[in-house]
Amino acid sequence: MLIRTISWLRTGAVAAVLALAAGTTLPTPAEAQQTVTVTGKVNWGLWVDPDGCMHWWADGGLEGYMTPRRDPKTGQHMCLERNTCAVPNADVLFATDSANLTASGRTWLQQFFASAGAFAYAIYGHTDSRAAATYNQRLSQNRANAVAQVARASGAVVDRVAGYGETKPIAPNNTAANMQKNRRVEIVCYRYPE
Amino acid sequence: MIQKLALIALVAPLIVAGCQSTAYNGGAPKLLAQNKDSGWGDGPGPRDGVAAVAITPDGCAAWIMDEGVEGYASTRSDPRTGLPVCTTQIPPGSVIGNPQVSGDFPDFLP
Repeated sequence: MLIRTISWLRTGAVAAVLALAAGTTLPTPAEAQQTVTVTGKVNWGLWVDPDGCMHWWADGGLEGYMTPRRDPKTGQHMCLERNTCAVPNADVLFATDSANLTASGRTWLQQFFASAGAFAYAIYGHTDSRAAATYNQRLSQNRANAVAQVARASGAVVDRVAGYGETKPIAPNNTAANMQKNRRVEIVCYRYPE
Repeated sequence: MIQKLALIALVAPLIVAGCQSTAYNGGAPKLLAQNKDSGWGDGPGPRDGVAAVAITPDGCAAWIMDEGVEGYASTRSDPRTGLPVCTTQIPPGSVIGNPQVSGDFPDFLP
């Protein structure tokens, strides 16, 4: 089975005319492009891992195949919405426009890391879309760092800390309530099998 | 070990005989792999949410599962960001958890 057969017929004729006009011998698109032959078929199955991320798998008899399911546009591993371990609102943890933890925010985080019981954590800071993107980027990074500091002081292992600024909103930044939702710190728990 | 090897030697030809050849003969595309079990000693395929973790030489986590006669492995990703899950706490090459998803086929390493 050959792919692209139909398009050769069309573009091949056009290229032949162009080659004659230029007085040179260009390879026709059919010769210039690789052709692909389908030699087999795989009926993929879907497997969901313990984190909710998806994988394609297939059983070949005496061998198996598996590959992450990725978004073709973004390259992101596609994962189902699973409860992230905690998404404290930044308004609760920090003063406005500040990466300094409030007393109640620090207490909440200390209690969280004392009881969550994961092997390690990832901490991601996010802002709403007000103020400049670079400012928000820095603010979210500083806030994530502040949370990571409390985590480490509580004896937790932090595998990753990142600030995403305003680039990953969970709601449109069109109302005060939505913008508040976007001002947040996501804490992902990395648990390992028992 | 010897017993397991003998079992494989006895059983493997039967399994192979029961399977389609996977060589391409120029005809219609042949089914090379499918999303269900394909013979004796095979489980029903990987079960959602059940896998062990193996740490790669780079220190990142992979899901591994031993499912009957075949094994599977794939990337562990952070479900929020899609970034790989990597650790400095666990030595590369370590396996955490039980990769044996269905235990009805004996395993051996030569």
